[in-house]
Amino acid sequence: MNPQPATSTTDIYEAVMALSRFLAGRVGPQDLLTGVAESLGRIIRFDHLGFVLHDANGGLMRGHILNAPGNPFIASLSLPVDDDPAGWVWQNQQPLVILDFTSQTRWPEYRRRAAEFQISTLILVPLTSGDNRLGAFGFSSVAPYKPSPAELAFLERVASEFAVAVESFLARQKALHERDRIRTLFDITNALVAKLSPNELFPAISDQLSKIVRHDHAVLTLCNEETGGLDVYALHSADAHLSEAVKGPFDPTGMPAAEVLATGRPVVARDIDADRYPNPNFRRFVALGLKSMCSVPLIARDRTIGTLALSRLTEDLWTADDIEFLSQVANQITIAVENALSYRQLQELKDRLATEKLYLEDEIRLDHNIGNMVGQGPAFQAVLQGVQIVAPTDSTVLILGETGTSKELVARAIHETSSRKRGSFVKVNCAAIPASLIESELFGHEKGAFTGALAQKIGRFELAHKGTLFLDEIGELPLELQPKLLRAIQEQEFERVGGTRTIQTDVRFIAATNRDLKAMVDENRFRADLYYRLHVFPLTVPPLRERRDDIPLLTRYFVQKYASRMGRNIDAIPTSALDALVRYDWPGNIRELQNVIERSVILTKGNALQVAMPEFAGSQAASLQNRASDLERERILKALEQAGGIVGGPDGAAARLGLKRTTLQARMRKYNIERQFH
Amino acid sequence: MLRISIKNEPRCSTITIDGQLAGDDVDAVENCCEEAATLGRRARLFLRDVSNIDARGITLLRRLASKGFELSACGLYSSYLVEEVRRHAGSRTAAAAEAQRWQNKPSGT
Repeated sequence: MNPQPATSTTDIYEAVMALSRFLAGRVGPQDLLTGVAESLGRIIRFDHLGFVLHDANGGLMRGHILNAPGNPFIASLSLPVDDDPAGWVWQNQQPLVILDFTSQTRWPEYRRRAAEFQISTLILVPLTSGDNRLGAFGFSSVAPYKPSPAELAFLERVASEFAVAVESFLARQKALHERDRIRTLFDITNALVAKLSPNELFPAISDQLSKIVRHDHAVLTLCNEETGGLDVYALHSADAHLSEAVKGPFDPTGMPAAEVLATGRPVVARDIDADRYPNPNFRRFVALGLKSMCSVPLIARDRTIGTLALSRLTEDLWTADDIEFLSQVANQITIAVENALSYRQLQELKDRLATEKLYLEDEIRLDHNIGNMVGQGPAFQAVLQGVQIVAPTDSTVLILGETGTSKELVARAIHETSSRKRGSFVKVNCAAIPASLIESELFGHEKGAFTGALAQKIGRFELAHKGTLFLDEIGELPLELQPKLLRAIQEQEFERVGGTRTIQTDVRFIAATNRDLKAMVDENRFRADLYYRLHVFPLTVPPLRERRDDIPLLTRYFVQKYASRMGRNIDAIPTSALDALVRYDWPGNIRELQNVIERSVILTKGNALQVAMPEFAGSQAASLQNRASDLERERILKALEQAGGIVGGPDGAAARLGLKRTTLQARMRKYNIERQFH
Repeated sequence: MLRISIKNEPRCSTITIDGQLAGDDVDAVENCCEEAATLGRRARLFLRDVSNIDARGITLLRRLASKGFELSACGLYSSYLVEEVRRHAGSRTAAAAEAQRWQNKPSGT
């Protein structure tokens, strides 16, 4: 359709005015062109109206064409600059008038397309706003058409008006694009920072990448410091074969990834670059159909930790815009990957520590027979009852008893039965630590607190937080440290040596001693206030000589323990041996019994335990025997005296002693009495 | 630490334990024993290499003995405790039988 246009000056000015009014506030190429078509149609005859913009990414001219009749919009015409007449106009900034297209020899591809629309005339003018060369603007017609100089001038005038509108449109487009990119980057950051496990993070990266850059395959590679190679994680793949091709560790030599790692800059590779990348994996990817690849570095604190590579099955170009944005995304991914790896490392360390703690607690439990308070006698049952009563409370407990009576075992039993059993049981032997170091050991110290304090040290009080602190041999605690301990017990707070910060803790205290603390208080060797603070719930563990009925059970327990440990098969304890053990006084208490049994198990040959009694037990037994003999001799002498020296008969000494005459005579011989009386 | 091995034979189920019969592990042993009891076969609990038996463990042994579990053990200490538990269960059974006998006696005799 080519209506006869009006060409008067008035018409031209009116058309320009109408166009200016129309263009104000219009957005979008179609919208703009529709308005221009109306204004221009009054002056010039045309069949197609359009503008062609220069696309710096790829050196293309992208056409936006309006087919005048019915105004169908065509926006898909793209040709390289040199293959498009609009490219010539853009480059030379001069109008181009082709009256008869069929006589043209230049721009063959454009001619072919023009022939499809039967175009004979093409008129283009530069589309330039100020110094900003945008492209070309013009029209074409099926019928031959020669514009007058006035019409051409009018066209240039319209083009300059239109250029301002297009420039504004492009600026707006750019602003929107920037906004979308920032929004996307923000979304990516949000999506990634919340993922701390690599198993969650990698799929999240893949999801986000799909939204921003078209790709068919994505891989994340991370440097493996142990192997020196790269660990490959397939993020997304359009083809299962591709996923399989890039799993696990691989050597990046001769791959784009090696170039990225070496330079720290993005690399774009194409299938035709096989000579540049001799690694067989690259050929494999090409054989699987990958046409182009963009690989960007993951840089963390000046160190490249891996690469992010996106590939396509098409030859589409990776624009500078794509690469720049991908690099920005890679920065966010790097932070997320570093966090995830650190988190994984922390989790592994945490799990390992937890396992080690369990293992060590188990070892301690085995070594100290926790939970196995062996003893059925009333004296020990009273202690167990005390443990059951006091354990659930948070009260301070003072365990009294001779050395070797298993005070520590009682303390551990209290901890194990209490609600703090998931916390630590921390032991401090006040007698085993030099007086000058005990404060630092208990409360910790700050770096530089004293000569030799090279680093900060956490004290046992802090270690026992939410658990139990067992102060063994509390009677040996230096007097000058006792007020600080009293404050820690009462207020549950203290300061490290050399520190100014008050540290709050939640600790249960159990103290033990074999000393008479009350006497020490009277002698001013132990503070009374600390004594009364500790003496909330005293538990006295009886010595072994006061629980002789437990000795057989304890003996069996220790025999089984040491026999099993030494691989011995001991299944019997002679009654005489057991009797000897029960009779002995055990000044060293259970510790001594334990040692005697251990020695006995070592020395035993055969299946019956051969008890190796302590060395002084024999002399002790002999002295007892001598004393018994002396007593019996005295009794016989007294009876003989009362019987007037007569042994037999109803009033004789034998009857007085309740013995047979012959037995008495034998004993008199034994004690050499007969001779004296005769 | 505790290891429980279960051997199910046509006429008998044997639960063998190694480690410690103490603390929370006692519950695991009890669960296995209850499961074995539901099979309706003879049930045995064998303390093969048990280093530690606490009060909860002994209570479980007593409960199992009263339910008819056959208890056995290796080692002087474990065998002694198992023997004690069996004796305890035996005396309780005898006392219960005696009480039953007295209840069943006709009055006036």
